[in-house]
Formats: sequence, structure tokens, C-alpha cells
Amino acid sequence: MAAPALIIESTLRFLREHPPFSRMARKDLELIATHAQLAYFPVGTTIVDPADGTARNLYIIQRGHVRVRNTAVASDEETRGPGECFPVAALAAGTAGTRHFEATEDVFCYKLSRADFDALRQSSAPFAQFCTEALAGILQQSLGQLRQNFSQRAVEQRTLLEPLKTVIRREPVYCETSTSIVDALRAMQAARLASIAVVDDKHRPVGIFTLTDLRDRVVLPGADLASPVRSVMSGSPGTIDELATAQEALAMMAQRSFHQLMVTREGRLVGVVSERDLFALQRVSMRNILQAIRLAPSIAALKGVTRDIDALTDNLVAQGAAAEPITHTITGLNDALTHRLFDLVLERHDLAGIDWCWLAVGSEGRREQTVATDQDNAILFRCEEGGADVCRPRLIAFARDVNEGLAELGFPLCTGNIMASNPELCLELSEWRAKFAGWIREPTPEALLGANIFFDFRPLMGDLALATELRAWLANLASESRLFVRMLVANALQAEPPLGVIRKFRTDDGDRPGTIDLKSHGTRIFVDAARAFALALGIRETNTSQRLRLAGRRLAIEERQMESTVEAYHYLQMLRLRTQRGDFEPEPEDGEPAKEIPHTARNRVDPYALNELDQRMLKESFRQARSLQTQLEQAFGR
Amino acid sequence: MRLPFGGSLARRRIRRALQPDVRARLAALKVRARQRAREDRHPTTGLLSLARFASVDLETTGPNMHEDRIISIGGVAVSGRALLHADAFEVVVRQDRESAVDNILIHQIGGQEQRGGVEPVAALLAFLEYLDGSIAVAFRAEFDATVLKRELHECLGIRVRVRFLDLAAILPALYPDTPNDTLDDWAQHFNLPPIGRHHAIADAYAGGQLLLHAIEQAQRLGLVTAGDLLELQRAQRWLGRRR
Repeated sequence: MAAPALIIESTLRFLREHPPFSRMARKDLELIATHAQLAYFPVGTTIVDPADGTARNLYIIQRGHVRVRNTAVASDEETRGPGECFPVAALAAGTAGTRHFEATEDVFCYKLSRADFDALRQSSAPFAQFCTEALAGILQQSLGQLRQNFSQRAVEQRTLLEPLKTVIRREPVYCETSTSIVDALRAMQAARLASIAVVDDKHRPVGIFTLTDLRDRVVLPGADLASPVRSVMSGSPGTIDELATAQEALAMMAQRSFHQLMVTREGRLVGVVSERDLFALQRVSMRNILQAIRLAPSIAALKGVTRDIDALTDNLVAQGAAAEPITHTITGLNDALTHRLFDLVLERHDLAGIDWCWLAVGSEGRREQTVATDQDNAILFRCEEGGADVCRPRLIAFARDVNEGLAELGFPLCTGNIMASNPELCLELSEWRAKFAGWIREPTPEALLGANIFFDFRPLMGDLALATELRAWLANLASESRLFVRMLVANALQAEPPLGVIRKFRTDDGDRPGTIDLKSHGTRIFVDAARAFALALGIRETNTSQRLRLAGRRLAIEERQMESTVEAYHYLQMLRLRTQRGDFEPEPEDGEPAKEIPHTARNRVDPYALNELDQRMLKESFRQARSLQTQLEQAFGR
Repeated sequence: MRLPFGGSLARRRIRRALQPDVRARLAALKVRARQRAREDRHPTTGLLSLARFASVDLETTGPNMHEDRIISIGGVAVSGRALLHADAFEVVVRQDRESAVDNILIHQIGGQEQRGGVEPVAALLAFLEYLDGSIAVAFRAEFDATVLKRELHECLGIRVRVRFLDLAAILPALYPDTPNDTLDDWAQHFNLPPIGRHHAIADAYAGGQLLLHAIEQAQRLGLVTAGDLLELQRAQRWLGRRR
């Protein structure tokens, strides 16, 4: 007799909450529900052991936790919980697994036979895909799912459903009905606007005056510029309350073919929102920002652009773009911003006769800036023999202006003084070589710290060939120094991915207990390992993903494997972006201003506060970090 | 007028009226039950981790085990440390009269469904064949045992011996010093997820999970076969009477 409906339904309800089952068709889930056994494993029982031979059953944890140990690698240990299944890869490959599964508490699992597992792979595309990916690491698929999920949620909630009051960014530009046409035009000119709102004595919007009105009602009919604007404005403008959503505003514009709407609070004008503002909400376009940067006449004007960059990042994150394009976009825009700043600053400095090159170091050097990065830079130059002391002060003066300009643009001055205006970091080519060679010869902890920052240099402006020359020299020297490589590898292995033995994650006990630092325990592991790979193999690239891909190719690591690692790194970066954006902070109460997230907290996340999918992906990412470290150790550790 | 031995005469009439194939099935079941009882005591086939149990639950028209009738029966087999979804049983028994409204509310089986159920003789036979001689496990099994025995007697005119294991008796013996009393207490004690109570199959499923815990604990305490569990129950009853 087939399983009773209630058993099937309750099993289905459970399965539907967990990927990949959540994506599978009902008939396939029914196959699981009718054929499954609910198996019980008391605490301490071994569920699957490599010694059992070819994997025979699929287990889906229903409740309780299971400890997984790799019998070959002692350090490889983790915990799995409800909704996770095992041993997928071994079953899919039809072999004995390499891992040992043991119940750490009373565990109940849905148990399926190998035949049912094979039948599921045959009939369910999502399940087949899940199995294939289990073989290569499940990360990429989960990421795709996250993006889909996240973009749907975020785009809808954050942008179009947002009340207009959060959308309007500036005070409205307006005039009274009695204002003369010429004064209205002056106000428009000052604000660089093509239209102006007209209000009555109670500050209610009663009209709008646009450049089209100027043409049709003033210039062509030959109206008197001194006459009040009331006589030439377009009356009864579209008005909308500030609590209406952006979506409602768009609908109203479409219905009544307005290009602007007057936003009101209790009938009084508080802002003007245009069609373009609302479209920009969805996509502050990169091209517009680049153009704004190019045309900015002063540092003050550039400052406005940094806000747009933030908005763009925000939207990209909200739309679920991948971390790699996002960080590249931020870096690209910041580069453009810096270039424009150079132009503006160079007008005041004469650097003629000096070959110089501005270097971005640290995360900017790796093209991996997130939002909350302070500036890290240096200068490399070359001059005639003995001329260094003459050139240096001129470059430092220039650098100081650039550093201060950057600070004004919202890149905080580096607290560690890693800035081009620091005389120790404004060096001649031979001086840089001496410095680097010293670090490589004697890899003390300080030397490694320096290497970690400066060996990721990237030329930004000036004579780029200088930087290329230094890079080629460094690549040769570093890869040939075995001691240095060994120390670098040891350094990269120091940080441990915070995977727990009992619980999923190991969280900190410090001043923010229960959280994980995504930078020092997450992305840094990838960055350090990638740098070690690059320097050991003589790879000249500075970008972490590129370094990993190139290293993978060089060491003949399977491409899928390396891609999973890169994805894991990007996932952590993405999580940092989302944390910085305040996605995981509780909503502020009504009337209470949104809390500013303290700088130190910006990379911290409480893993158990994440949704289940994120928890799994976070865990998988840390797992990838660990396997990357293992690969590094195997390649260069001895 | 009510004749002496009227009941037994009526049952004889019922027995005589049974279809030949039904009689054959009943005879086969009797043989199977004896065989299973032997197997359950045998140190290889009766091992706690191998023997088949059926966790069952009966829903009735009311709380009186001497009068109320079976509305539905649910069962899930327990074997090899697992609940077997593929070896589960559910039947709704056709009623001549709908049960009292408040009972419908408790069991959520509407009058429609009851009238549309399986004819009692067929339902009971199907259940016996599902049991296949295995030990039936229930919480407060005395109730289920009494009702089943009476209904078999009335519908088939026979006495069938079904071995029942009462979780309410063996759990306190296996886990002494726990204050649990009701099925809900034990479910909470073992942290069982609810799948919907007061539904025959749901209670049978919950009982099955309790049995898995009980079996594990029994093995730890040195019990070997399914027969040993029945012995434990007997001893517990005996102790219970003295207490």
C-alpha cells in the first residue's frame, strides 16, 4: 500500500523548505516521500563510513546534526544540519565516499535507496544538476539562486516600493506666483534646472514653469520678462504625497504624461521628482557617472559624483549583480574619479622633467574596493642620478594635494599613513627595489605585512611603464626566493576559516560576540592565498580572482574547482557589501533615525541571523577557503 | 426477546456467512501470526533491529472502548531502525451512522468521508493482513486492543489474537524517573516534530518514532529480541498492579 497522504504531505512540507528539493517537481518529491524511510541514529552512531564501500543510501537530515570528517585530511571537519543531504558526490560518482558521517545528537534522516537516488537523477533536472554540482562544489548554483532571490526581493522592495520621501534628494527649487519671469529663470539657471515649481502663498504647488513654456509662452509671443510667472506657467501640475511609492509616482506619470511630479507633505511642496530620478533609482547609469566625472569643474563638483557612485553600488547590490562586476565597477569609477582629481591637482603643480607613476596599493591595487575603503597609495619615480632629493619634495607636495583631495571626496586618509605623501612611500625605482629586496631577503613579520600591502601595487597615473618594470623585476625575484615563498605561504595559512565543529560556525567572543569578521576570517584568506600563489609562480596580476584563475591553470587544478573557489570569494565580498549597506541591521523604528553602522562593525555579520540559504553558502565559502589553503600548502608548503 | 447465548449464536451465523475466500485469508493469517510470534522470540530473526513492528492507532466514534466503533485505522511499519513510508497503512471505515459531531471535530473526518469509507469486514481484513502477525505498537494500547478485538468479534464472528505492545507501559520502564505521562509528554521529551495529531496515521507516525527511541534504549539495557520487549511489558504490568 502506498504511503498515506498525511505522511506524504508532511514529508513534502519539510522537503520544500530546503534546496535542492524546493526546486523539484511535485511528482519527484512524492517519489522521495513514498519511498523514504525515516531512519533513526542515536547520538554517536556512524551513519556512513568510507569503509562501508560503495555508497548505498542517500540521507536527508530531518532533525539533529551530523559531524563530517575526512578520513584523509584530519583538519577537514564540519557539521551538517536539517535539510542537508549526504553523501551526494559519492552516490553520484558510484564510489565509496572519503568522508565519515556521525550523529552528534539523536538524528533522524529520510533515507533513500541507491535505486531511488538514480531514479531521481533521471527524472528531475534540478536534482540531476544538484548532483553534478555536488561533485564540483555546490557553490555556484547556490549563488545563482541567491542572485535571483535577492534581486527580486531587493529591487522590488528597496527601489520601486520605497516611499518618495526617501527618493527626493534635494530641496525643491521654487518661486512664488508673483515672481517675475526673469527671476524665475535666474533661479533655474543657478540650480541648473530646466524647470521650476511655482507655489502659492500657502506653499502649495500650483504650477510649473519649464523651458518649453519659455519658448512657447514667453519668447515666441514676445511676453514681458518682468510679468509674473503666474501668467506663463503650466497650471495644475501633477502632485503626489511624499508617502506614495516610487511605483505609484511612475504610474501617475505614465497615465497623465507628466515628466515631473510635485511631492507634497500635507499639501505643501517638499520636493520635485522627475521621471529621470525614478529611472535612476533603478539604475544610476555608469555612463552618466563617468560623464559627470569627466565634466566636473572642481573637487566640490566631484564630491557630488561620489554620492552617485554610492547609489550605483547600492543599486547594483540590490539588483543582485555579482560581486566581481560590482567591485570592478567601484574600482573603475574610483579610478576615473582619481584621474579627474589628478587633472585638477596637476593644474597647480609642475612635475615636468620627472618620470613618475602613481601606484594604488592594497585593495585598490587589487581592483577590489568595497564601499568603506580608505586610501592606500604610493609614488614611484625615476630621475637622473642624485636628483631624487630634488624631485621628491615636488612629488610629495603634489601627493599631499591629491591625498587631501581624495579625503574630501570621501576616501578617508589612511590611518597607517600608507599614502603617497609619506616620504617613505614616495620613492625612486631603485629605492623601491631595495625596499622590496630587503623584505624578500628577510621575511620578518613586518616585511610580510609590507609585502601584503605593497606587492599588490597597480599603476594608476603617470608613466605606467615604470610600474611594469618594477613588477617584472619583482615577479622574478620573489618566485626565486624559496624562503620568502615559504614564509608567505605560512602567513597565508595562519587565518583559519571559522567553521565550527559542534555548530556550523565558530563566532568571536570579543566586543561583538556571536559575529564573524568576514574580512579577517573570510576574504583575507583568499586574498593572501592568491598573493602567495601569484608571487610563488611569478604571476604579475594583482586581482585576486585573476590570480587564482591563472594559478589554477599553471598548477593544472581543475577549472571548475578554481571557479568554485573564486565564486566563494565573491560570495564573501558580496556579503560584505550587503553588510556595509546595512542589509542585516534591524529596521529602525518609526521616527528613529537609521543608525550609522560603526566602522569596525562593517565587516561583521551574525551567521545565525542569516537565512538558511546564506548560512549554507557561507559555510560552503569557508569550506572553499579551507580547501584553497590545503592546495596552497600542498603546492608550496614544503 | 433476548435469548441466552444469543450473542454467540449471532456470531456463529456471521461466521457461517463469511465468503470462502475470506475464510481462507483468515486461516492464512492465523498461521502467519503464529509463525511471526515464533520469529520474534528467535535470537536472529527477532533481533530488535530486524524485527518488524507496526505502530498503529485507531480512531473511534467515542471514548468508550466497549461500545464505540472504529472510524479509521493508521499504521506505519518500523524495522531496521527506521519508519518505512512504503510500508504504511490507512483506512477509513464506513459507518452506518455518522459519529457524534464533537468526535468529527476531534478526528476531522467528516460524515461524508465516513459514509464513503471501506466496508468494515474488508477494512478489518486489510488491516490484519497489513499487520501480518507483527506486534502492534500503540500508546495506551489497551484501548486499541479492546476495540479491535470487539470489532473483529462482531464483524467477523471470530476471536483473533493480536499482540499489542503498549508504549505507555514500556517507555516508563525503559526511561525510569521521567515524569512523562501522555503521548504529548513523550513526544515533547524526544522533541518530535508534529505532523498533525488526533489523526490515526499521525499518531501512528509519532508512536513509531517513540518506538525507535524505545528500541534503542532497550538494546542498551541488554534486551535482544522483540519478544523480550513483550516480556518487559508483562513484567511492568505485573509491577504496576502491585504498586
